[in-house]
Amino acid sequence: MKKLVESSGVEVAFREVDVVTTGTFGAMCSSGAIINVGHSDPPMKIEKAWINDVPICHPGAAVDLYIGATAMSEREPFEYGGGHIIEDLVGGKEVELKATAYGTDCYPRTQVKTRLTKDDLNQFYLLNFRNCYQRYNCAVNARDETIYTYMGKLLPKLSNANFSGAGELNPLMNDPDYETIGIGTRIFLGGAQGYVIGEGTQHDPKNRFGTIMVRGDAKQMSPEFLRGASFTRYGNTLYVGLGIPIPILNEGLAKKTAIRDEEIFTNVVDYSVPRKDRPALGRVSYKELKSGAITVNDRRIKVSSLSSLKTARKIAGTLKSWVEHGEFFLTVPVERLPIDSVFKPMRQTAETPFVASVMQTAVTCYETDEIRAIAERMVTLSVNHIIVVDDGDKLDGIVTSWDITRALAEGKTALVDIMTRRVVTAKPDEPLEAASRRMAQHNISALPVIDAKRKVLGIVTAEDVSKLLGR
Amino acid sequence: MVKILIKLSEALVAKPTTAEIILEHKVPINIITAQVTSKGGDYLVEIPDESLATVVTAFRKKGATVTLPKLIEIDKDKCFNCGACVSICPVEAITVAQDKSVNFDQEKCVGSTCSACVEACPARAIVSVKQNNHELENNQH
Repeated sequence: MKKLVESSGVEVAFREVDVVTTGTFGAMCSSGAIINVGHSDPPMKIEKAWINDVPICHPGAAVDLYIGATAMSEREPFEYGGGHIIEDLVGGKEVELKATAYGTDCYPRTQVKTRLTKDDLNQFYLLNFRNCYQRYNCAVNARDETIYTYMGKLLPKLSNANFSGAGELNPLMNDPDYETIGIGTRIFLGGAQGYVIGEGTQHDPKNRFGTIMVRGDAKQMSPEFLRGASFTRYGNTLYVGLGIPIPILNEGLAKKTAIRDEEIFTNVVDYSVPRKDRPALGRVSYKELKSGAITVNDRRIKVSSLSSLKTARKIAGTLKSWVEHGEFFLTVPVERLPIDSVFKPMRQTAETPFVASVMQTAVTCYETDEIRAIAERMVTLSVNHIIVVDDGDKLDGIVTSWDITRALAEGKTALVDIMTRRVVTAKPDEPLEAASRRMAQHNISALPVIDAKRKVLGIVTAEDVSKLLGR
Repeated sequence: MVKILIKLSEALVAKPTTAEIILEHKVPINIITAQVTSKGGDYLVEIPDESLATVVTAFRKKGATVTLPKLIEIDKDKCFNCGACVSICPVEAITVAQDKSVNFDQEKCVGSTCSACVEACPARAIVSVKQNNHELENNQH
């Protein structure tokens, strides 16, 4: 379509092309499967259930279970999860179900352990409440240590970038006004035919972050297009293969489906900022993202895709062949996806504490100060941490009461020999939870609070945090 | 410490290649075995783990061939060609092909002491194989 519109124009493309197929294959965390495992004898109203040691939701009556893609194994967390169970079941593997119950007069059984394959299930439907994001952020990390996110492993100081999404191949990008997509649209889902059942959660059409909710018979699907995945120190998920055929009903759709990667932009977002709204460091096109490197702040950064473009192409190709061979019939949606809904943040009735709210005035010293004088100040002011600053009050290092003890034991007298120069710091506008987590990660008990120019503003200690957060 | 095998061409043997790298990067390089003549040759060296990427890149920049025993294995059945490993690799051993397949170049890989790609792989298709020095020694001609 893209080439045809370019060479012959929209009018010709509209006349010659009937359907444009699309595809995407990426990590879609808000996915899962509803299964009905049948009744045991005596019957049981399942209260808690596990499959292959992964906790399974029990949202409804006796034996209906929902396998959430991100649920993690209690034995092997981060390595095996709900997504893997779905892949295993779809692939014909046997899984182990364990369940417990409190027992009632009508459902007396209190525990069960059995092995099941997909053939033993009454229903096995993929039921994903948010799939197929129209586009997504490109993630980087500006902090000086590696972070592990749902956007993968991000190296310090903008040393790499990760993006997700198929760009010009993305289903919703090809019909951005949802002229042909809505409830009842038949789609490619996990290697079989499935349906759109409405807009996905967090659907945000105005910002071109549309999503869809989908359903499909998982018994017909293939593990090639449904893969369990592990994101180190983040968790488990499911890679979902999804494609939508777009009927070219008018010239407008011919033009829209000719969209190219260079016309689709997304923000480069700093995931090291522990806030809901993370700062955007730049804007890049999917063409740049797919080229392997992007430029941010005049710096070239290597970029990786987290979703498989190869599989996305295969999905669009498979769907095309199904349509051509009469194996797949397009449907008219009974209701189109909303084009004006908004995605609101959480209403928070209690205030979130920030570093600035517990930060105290820092006791500081200079590199040239004597250890004895520093020790005296620690005792007089009853503090365990003294921040080493330069003439401009900028952070040079930190010295703790433990460092002083060590100096005494090792017979050291110069502050420069015992102070820590690589200091883990906090920012005043940072949520206290994030600062607290960092202290725990580094096994330290205080963080100097600094501004963007590394000027020391104060100190936040583990003691102050636990007073406020009650830990 | 990690051992790597370096092959030098005739032209490279004529120059103090190894000495230059030691001086330029200030890394200790310990020669374990060497079979070098004026026509070229290869030698086995030992270097600190943290200098591996630097040393390998430096030798390659000068035109030497650096080989290691098989240290990283990719399970092609598990790999679904996302490419999450590509930007993590410090030596560009992993690349995306024209057809969007993810390609792995064993020759460029610096192996298990790096292993940055292993935990970046959502499919858990990359396995770090413990370095086997015996295998490396068999690599020598």
